[in-house]
Amino acid sequence: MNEFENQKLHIARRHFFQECGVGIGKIALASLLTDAFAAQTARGQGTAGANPLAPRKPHFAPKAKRVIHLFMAGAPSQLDLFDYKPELTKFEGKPIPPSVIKGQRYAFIRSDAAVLGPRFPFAKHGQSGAELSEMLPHLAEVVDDICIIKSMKTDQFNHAPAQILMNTGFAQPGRPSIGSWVTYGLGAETNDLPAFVVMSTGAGISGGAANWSGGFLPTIYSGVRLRNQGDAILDVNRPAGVDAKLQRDTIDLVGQFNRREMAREGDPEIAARIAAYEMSYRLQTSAPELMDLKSESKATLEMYGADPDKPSFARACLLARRLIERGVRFVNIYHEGWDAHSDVVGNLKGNCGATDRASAALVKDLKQRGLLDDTLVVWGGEFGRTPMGETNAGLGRSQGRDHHPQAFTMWLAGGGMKRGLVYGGTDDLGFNVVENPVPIHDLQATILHLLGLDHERLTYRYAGRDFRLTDVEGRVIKELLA
Amino acid sequence: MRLTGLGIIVGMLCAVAGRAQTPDFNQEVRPILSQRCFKCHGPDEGQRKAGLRLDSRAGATALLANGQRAIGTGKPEASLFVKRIFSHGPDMMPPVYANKPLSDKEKDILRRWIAAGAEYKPHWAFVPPKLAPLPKVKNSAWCRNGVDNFVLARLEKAGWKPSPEADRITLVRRLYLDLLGLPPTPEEADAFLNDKAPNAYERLVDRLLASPHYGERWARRWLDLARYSDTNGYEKDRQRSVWPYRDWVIDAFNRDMPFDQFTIEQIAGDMLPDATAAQKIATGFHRNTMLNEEGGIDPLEYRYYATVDRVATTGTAWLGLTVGCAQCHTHKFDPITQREYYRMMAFLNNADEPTIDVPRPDITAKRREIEAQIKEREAHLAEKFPVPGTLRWLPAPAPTATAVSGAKAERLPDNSVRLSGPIPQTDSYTVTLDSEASEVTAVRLEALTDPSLGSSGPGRTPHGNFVLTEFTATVAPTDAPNSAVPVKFVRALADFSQDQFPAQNAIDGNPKTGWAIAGTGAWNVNRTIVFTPEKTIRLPHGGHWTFHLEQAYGGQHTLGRFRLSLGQEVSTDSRPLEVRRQEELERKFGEWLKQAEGSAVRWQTPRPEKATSNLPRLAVQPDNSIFVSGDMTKHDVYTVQIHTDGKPVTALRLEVLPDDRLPNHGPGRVFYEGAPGDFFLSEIAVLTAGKTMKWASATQSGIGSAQNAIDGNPQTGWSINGRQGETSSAVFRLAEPLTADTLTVQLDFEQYYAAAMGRFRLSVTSDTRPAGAELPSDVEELLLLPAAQRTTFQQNRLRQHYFSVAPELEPERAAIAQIRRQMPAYPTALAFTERPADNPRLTYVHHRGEFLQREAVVTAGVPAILPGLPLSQTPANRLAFARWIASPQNPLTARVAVNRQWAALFGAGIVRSVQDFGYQGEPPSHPELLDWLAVYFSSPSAQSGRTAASGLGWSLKKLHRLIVMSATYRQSSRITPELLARDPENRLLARGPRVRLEAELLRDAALTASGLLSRKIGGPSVFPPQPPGVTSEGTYGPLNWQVSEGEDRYRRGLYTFSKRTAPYAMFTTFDAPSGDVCVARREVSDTPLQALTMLNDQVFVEAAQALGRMMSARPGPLEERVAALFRRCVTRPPTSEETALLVKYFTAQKARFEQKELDAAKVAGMGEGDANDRAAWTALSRSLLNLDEAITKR
Repeated sequence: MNEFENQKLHIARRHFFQECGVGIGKIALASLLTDAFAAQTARGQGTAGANPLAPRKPHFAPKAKRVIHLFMAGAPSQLDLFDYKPELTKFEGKPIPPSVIKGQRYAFIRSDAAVLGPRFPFAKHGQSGAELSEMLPHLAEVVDDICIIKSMKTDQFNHAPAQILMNTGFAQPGRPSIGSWVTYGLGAETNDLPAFVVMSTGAGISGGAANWSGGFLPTIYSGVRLRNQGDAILDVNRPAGVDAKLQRDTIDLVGQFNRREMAREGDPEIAARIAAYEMSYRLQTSAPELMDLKSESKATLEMYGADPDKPSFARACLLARRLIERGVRFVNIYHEGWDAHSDVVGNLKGNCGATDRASAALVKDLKQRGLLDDTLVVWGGEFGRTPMGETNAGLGRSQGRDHHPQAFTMWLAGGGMKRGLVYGGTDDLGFNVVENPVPIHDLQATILHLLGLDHERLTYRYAGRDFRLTDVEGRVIKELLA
Repeated sequence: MRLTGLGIIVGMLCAVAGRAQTPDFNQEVRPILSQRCFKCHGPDEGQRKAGLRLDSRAGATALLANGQRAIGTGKPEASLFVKRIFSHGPDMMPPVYANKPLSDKEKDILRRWIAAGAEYKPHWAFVPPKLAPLPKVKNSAWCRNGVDNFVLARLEKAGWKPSPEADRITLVRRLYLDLLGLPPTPEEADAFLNDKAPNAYERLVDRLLASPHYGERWARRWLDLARYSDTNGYEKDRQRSVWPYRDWVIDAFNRDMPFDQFTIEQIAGDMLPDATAAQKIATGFHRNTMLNEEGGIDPLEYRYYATVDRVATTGTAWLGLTVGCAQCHTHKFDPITQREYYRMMAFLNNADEPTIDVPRPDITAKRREIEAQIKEREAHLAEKFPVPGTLRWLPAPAPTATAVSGAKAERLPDNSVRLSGPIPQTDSYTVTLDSEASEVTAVRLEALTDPSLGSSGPGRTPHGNFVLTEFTATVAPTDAPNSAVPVKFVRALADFSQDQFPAQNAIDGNPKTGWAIAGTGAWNVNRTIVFTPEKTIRLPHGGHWTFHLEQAYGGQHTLGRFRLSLGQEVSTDSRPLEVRRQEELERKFGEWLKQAEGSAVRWQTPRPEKATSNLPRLAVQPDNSIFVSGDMTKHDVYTVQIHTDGKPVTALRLEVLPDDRLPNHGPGRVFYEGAPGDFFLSEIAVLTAGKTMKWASATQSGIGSAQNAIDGNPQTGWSINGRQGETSSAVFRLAEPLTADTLTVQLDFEQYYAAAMGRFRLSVTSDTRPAGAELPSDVEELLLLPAAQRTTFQQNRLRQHYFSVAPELEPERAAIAQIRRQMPAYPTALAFTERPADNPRLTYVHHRGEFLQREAVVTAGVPAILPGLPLSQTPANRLAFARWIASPQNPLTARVAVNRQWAALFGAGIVRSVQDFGYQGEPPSHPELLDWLAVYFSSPSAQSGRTAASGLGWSLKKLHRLIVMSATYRQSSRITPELLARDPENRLLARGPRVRLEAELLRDAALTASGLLSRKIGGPSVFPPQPPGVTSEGTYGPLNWQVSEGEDRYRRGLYTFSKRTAPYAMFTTFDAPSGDVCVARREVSDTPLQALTMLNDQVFVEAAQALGRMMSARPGPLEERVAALFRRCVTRPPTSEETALLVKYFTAQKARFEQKELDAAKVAGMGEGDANDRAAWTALSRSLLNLDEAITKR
């Protein structure tokens, strides 16, 4: 921590103790705190005491300050949405030549499964002339604001490991997610809300909590769920019958005793606890304020297609905008349900129906509010879907597509990304990437770079080793940067 | 951005040692080299730059390719190394891009080290610990045991003093929290405070060590290392039963199992001679790895990852080594090569992974009791055979029928009812009819075929089946139409019932079960079911009948055409009931026997000549069946060769047999994703001379469809879920008789999970009669014996089998099945079993650690840097490995273990990096103390007791006792400004420990304070309240968190069900691990979400309300009651000033409740007495449970 940051922390604390009406021994406490925090900085990685979420300087000037990742879990079919392959229509019903397949393992289909052509018509859009299928009419309107990467590839072909790889750089659970890394690297710009927020719509998420876990990083860097049912943030609401005054009285009494204990015992950690209780009190106000969409105009709600009272992907996107406006660093929205092993047409109609409008609205909304320049929006799944169709009477499947790790499509917008760019490409059958491949670690390195973080320098010492998000790989894709 | 703890300790050492002295290699030099240099100049040959190796003296002083030496010993000026580290130019080391610059102080240390001769010493942790003499100290009066000599010597060297002893009330709370994980109740605290004996403290310690809650507290810490969880992890994250392992750990701590034995049993308990059930359960340690059940995975790939995890976890938990780093490449820092890594893996890679029954005497007794009941019932089956009456069926009266669905119900001339129009998923028919019958003893329902129906019916599905889920009737006398009464049916008998859909289901009151008629052969025929009322219904002037035919099964399983008629008993036989019963039984048995004898065919079960597969091991058993073990793949293929007697074979029989070695007792090998013990036979083929023979048809006993295994489609198959633990069979008829000496039978199991058979037997027949699968093989064989040659035993077996199929006994069998369902199953646990010597699993080196990139095969072995295996007793297997870990000769195990105990009690270890004792780890703050403890801990204990020469014999209780008895432990934990400035992390131990309680203990403490805590030990995990949706919202494998009832709502935290993908919310908030990986040290964070939990979560609200009830009901002055409450939460009494604050708060809140500003009933929850009073106490209690003092050990 450098001197400047130290100073900031100090000011923040002084402000906090003044604002919160510290009752007794103010001056003695203040000096104790100063000593305590001075000691904290020597504690290295320990999070005790010092505010581990204090804003920290990036390694170099960032383009993006925050990220909204729209995680299309289950893996959307790039071949029916982005990566138009007329050749597939020609070969429809015939197996892909073994020379292309080359012993690739598949989750469900056999290597002799028949080719399935694109299910929807495509058209070129915008000045960039990017091709999109008719399933994405709203995205088509912002196509010049986004950067489409058609050459994503991964080495995992099952959902849970692939999702966890996308988030943590490693296919098994246990490592910190990108949101945690970013929060660890940059701290938070809000004291009223968690720095890393996770929402989910659609079906369940294969990778589970490992996707937003802080792994071996201190727990404070883990993603916090914004929930669809019950309290928006776990336990943010007071128990039945407890009003704001009683809550305030309680926190005051607790604070009073804790300050006495601090004076007696001298443990700076107690100061951190006092601060945490104060922040929890603010959360109880800021969370309902965040969730209350009454202040949003009808036009905005309309643009997203959000019902203010009903959980949906659209509402989550609107909340994401409100979150980043309030200083939240990293937002994840999981929309799971793209796993079209059967009826890819019906699957895309349903999921595009639920997500296309709001995804595009988010880009528009951020742009019109001047937030797109320093907010990075990421859209995509954990892998792609096969050019071959999936049919399995035993499992009741037909006209679907299996998991395809060799090639898939994602798009990114804002935060220093080039606009209106279509990057990378696949072969005529959409099977392999043939131009500008982007492995997962490269994408991660690039996202960190946009945030002003060097992926090789953002490390954490654990179990005798300096770990990083990109493990031993990763390359910033300069061609994508504006 | 951060300073490592190392800097501080090195700084301290320097302060102590003085600048001029030679730097200590282990303490000062190696850490710098390791962190700054070894990555490129270390053990990993593949990464080594410039051919320079700095981790050994020989390497560092060798002549380099450029003719210079990196280190010229004693000559810093002649050392390229020194030149480069002091350089500011492009040749600076470490290079700028490495981003690990050396500080001036570090450079100075390295220079002085070289100047003094660049002596290398072996890494401290790899050198066996030595028992150093106790250091001399000035203030020897302070020392209570050896621990204190080491600590004080160090403090005195620094010129510091220890803190004064904490007061007794602090000590009693500290001891309870440390040894039991529970705070003392005020009464428990008082017992100690009032004990004026000089050894009161010691007595308290001994009492606590003997408490059964001791095991719970220490088990939870071990479970972090064992990555214990109650679910499989990954996408599906299904539940698993491994809690018996958790209970084993608790029990081991309570019994003070020596740590070496504790170690051996967990790693290789199954391999101990005459291993007990408990020793097998102990191997659950390494079965706590995750299991990926996601559709489409390769099970072997994830088994490999599990094994990788086992190696890493063994390293962390016992050796304090980050061996996992050598999975992909030779360790960059520690002397462990990649090959050595896989040699260690080989120890752990040769086990099968069964689910085992946990024998429990209470369950065994219950099972025996139920078995006896069943035997008793079965012995009396003959007496239950229905006595024949002669039923006369009256002509069916004309019915009026309606269908709830609105389907058209038309009456046909034969007085049957036919349904037409739209076909609903479910339906319910109401039929009314008037009958003159004055005595009714039976009701008959005929299900009739009709050309208008799918497959001509009788049901309305395309295939003609239906399910009658419930059949009820009411009847009113014709002359009193308004006095209808329900008819109670006690018996339902059908001429044919579909497997699992017996007739009795139609009158069992359960809308989820029913009677159906599908089966093998032609089943689109008329079927009859007869219902018998409890007693004869007498209606002198006839009756008005109303029938309800419920068909709630779904999928259009409704009746298409049916007819109802009434029956009258007309028997005139006056012989005794039993005679008539016997006669009827013999007649019916005779009929069956004749039919069965006529259909039995002769099977031959030759001993298979050859049985092979793509991977699993097939072994022929004495009964000519085949047992399968070893690994499975997504597509297993078994090939079995059998010899025939040369006669043309007409059919093949496949019996699948249960076996206790298989999951769920078999017959299948499915152990995850699918139903355990099931299988999926995709295709079966007979080949002769390389030619595949054509099948004609297939039938099966029991359930599933064997036809699916000969339909040429590998995506359909035969399976038997629901019949685990039983024999099932399938018969496959050949299209043409096959004449060949040798048949090759190929069985394909291709499903998206490992789904092959575990035990099966093949037979052939040359009989020309069509063979079927209905008869058990032994019965079929008996039927072929001439009747006169059958022994009594054999006759009885036939009769017994008849009883098991006779339709007349169906109700009785249903009753027996009901009893059987009450049979409690044994809990199960996950264990290791070493594979047989003739089928070892090979271990390979994996290039870059990747599963698919196998290189050379390796044999099991331990890293060369450590002592060798003690091979005198056993071969180099898992047991030898376990003994090697648990040996006092292993320089790491005892050190790691004592350090972990130290960390548990002091909040940090003597070695701070509790998981890493390697080069990258932090050196010990008190090396001699660590070694002294390690040697003392692992030395055998002398019988006589506490002589200096005797050790603790690996006793953890004795070790805990030793530490908590020390003066070091008993110090006050107050942090003076001076201490804060000098040693904020308390490295020199000049004060006692201060740590926030762990997640589970926070909960336990609140429940203890409120008196809600259940003290029950062990058993399946429980589901205490938590906010809705935590385990279901956004979770792929959701779990309906059904909150436990009764005391299970308030069990200790370690019994809370642990779901990996959606852990118990409160625990996650307070830094508890999810069980995905081995965790040696929990983070201690401090977040607003924690405050929200403490303030608002239901558990803490309930605790506050319980305290509210307790305090409101307590007599006495307010101040006294406030003080009592305060003590329940923080043990000590409040000061008078504090009491005043609490009273003020209480009075203010109570006034608000009384003035109805707040809803007292809501705040106070359920309870008796004045709600305002209770609410005010609840509010106060809630505040106190939140105090830092209430959640901190100090």
